[in-house]
Amino acid sequence: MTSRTGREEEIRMEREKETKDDGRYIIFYTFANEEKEES
Amino acid sequence: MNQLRWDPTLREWVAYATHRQDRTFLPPAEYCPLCPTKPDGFPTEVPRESYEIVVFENRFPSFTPDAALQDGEGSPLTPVAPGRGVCEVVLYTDDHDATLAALGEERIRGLIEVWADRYGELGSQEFVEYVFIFENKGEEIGVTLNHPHGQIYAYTFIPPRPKKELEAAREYHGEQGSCLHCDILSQEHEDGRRIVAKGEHFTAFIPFYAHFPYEVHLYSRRCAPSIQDLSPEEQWDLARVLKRLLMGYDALFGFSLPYMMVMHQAPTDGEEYEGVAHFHIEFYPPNRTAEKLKYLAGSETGAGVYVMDVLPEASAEELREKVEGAGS
Repeated sequence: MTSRTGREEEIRMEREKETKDDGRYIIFYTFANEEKEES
Repeated sequence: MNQLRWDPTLREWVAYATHRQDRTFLPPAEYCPLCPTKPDGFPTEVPRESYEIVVFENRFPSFTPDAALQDGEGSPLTPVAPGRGVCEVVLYTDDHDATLAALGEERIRGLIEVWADRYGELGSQEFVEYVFIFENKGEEIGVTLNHPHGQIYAYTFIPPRPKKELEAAREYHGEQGSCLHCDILSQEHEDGRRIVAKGEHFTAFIPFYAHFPYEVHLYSRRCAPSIQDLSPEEQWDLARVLKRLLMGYDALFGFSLPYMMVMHQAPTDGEEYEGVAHFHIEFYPPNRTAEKLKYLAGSETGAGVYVMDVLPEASAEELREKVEGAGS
C-alpha cells in the first residue's frame, strides 16, 4: 500500500494490490475526504 | 493466442487475439461482471461489496505480458511478433448506472490520479513503449459491458496514430523551434470560434481539421508531456473542464452521448519528448445528429480521407452553448 499526501491541492490516494484466484492482479484505489458522488 | 502480424503495405502491426470472441457481451445489469460482489451473489471481477476506483488485468486481453511466438507463422515479407503487452480495465465507480459525466469532480480528480499512476507503473516496464489510456462509451461504439469503465493498453511499440502525430511535432519543433500543439492551441485561442470550454489550465476545442462533427481536443495549456507531469492544480482543472465538457455532450441531443475518449502523451521508450509530446485528450463521438451516425465508409476507411458535412465552427458554437448551459 502506498499513500500520497502533500500540498493543499493534492489528494490522498491509497492503493492495495491483490492477486485474483486466476493469477491476475487487481488494484483498489481509495481517496481520503472524497465528497459523496452526485449520481 | 495473442499475435502481431506486420502489414508491409501500411507498415503497421495488426493484433490478433482470437480468445476475445468468447468475451461477455452486454449481460443484464444483475449479471454485470464489473459490479461489486454482493453477499450470496455471483462472483464478479471485484471481490468486494463496494469500491471507489478499481484497476485489474483484462480477462480477455488483446495483449499479454507473457505472449510467446507461434512456430510456423510469418515470413520475411510478413513477419509476426508475440502479442506482448498489458491490458487493464479501469472501473470508475461501483454504481452500474453512472457515467463519467455524472461523477463528482472529486471522483474525476481521483481518476486522473489513477491514470497518472498507471502511466507511471506500466510505462516503467522495460517492454512497454506506449501507455494508451482510453474509454469506449456506448453500444454504438461497440462496448460489450455498460458499467462505467475505461481501458489501458500498454503497447510494446508506439501505435501508428500517436507515432504520426509525434513525428509531425518533432519535425515542426525542428523547423520552428516551438511545440506544434502549443501553437495550435494559441491559434485556437486567438480565433476563439472553435473553443467549447476553458479552464485555468485546460482548453477544450473542436479542431480546425476535425474528423468528426463533435470531435473535441482537450489540451493542457502548459506543454506537459504526460498526465504524470500535471501539477495538482492542473489535475483539478482538468477534472472540472472534463466534467463540463461531458455534461455538454450529454445535453447536446438530450441523451448520454456515445464517444471514444483517447489520451495522447509521451511514449515511455526512453527517448526525449520535451517540446514534442503535449498531453491532450481527444474525443470522437460518432453522432452527427441525434439520430444519425458518422460512419467510416469508403473514403474514410479505404482512402483515409474524412469527408465532413458540417464545419467545426458551427458544431463548436452549438456544443459551446450546451457546455455553458450545463454548467450553469
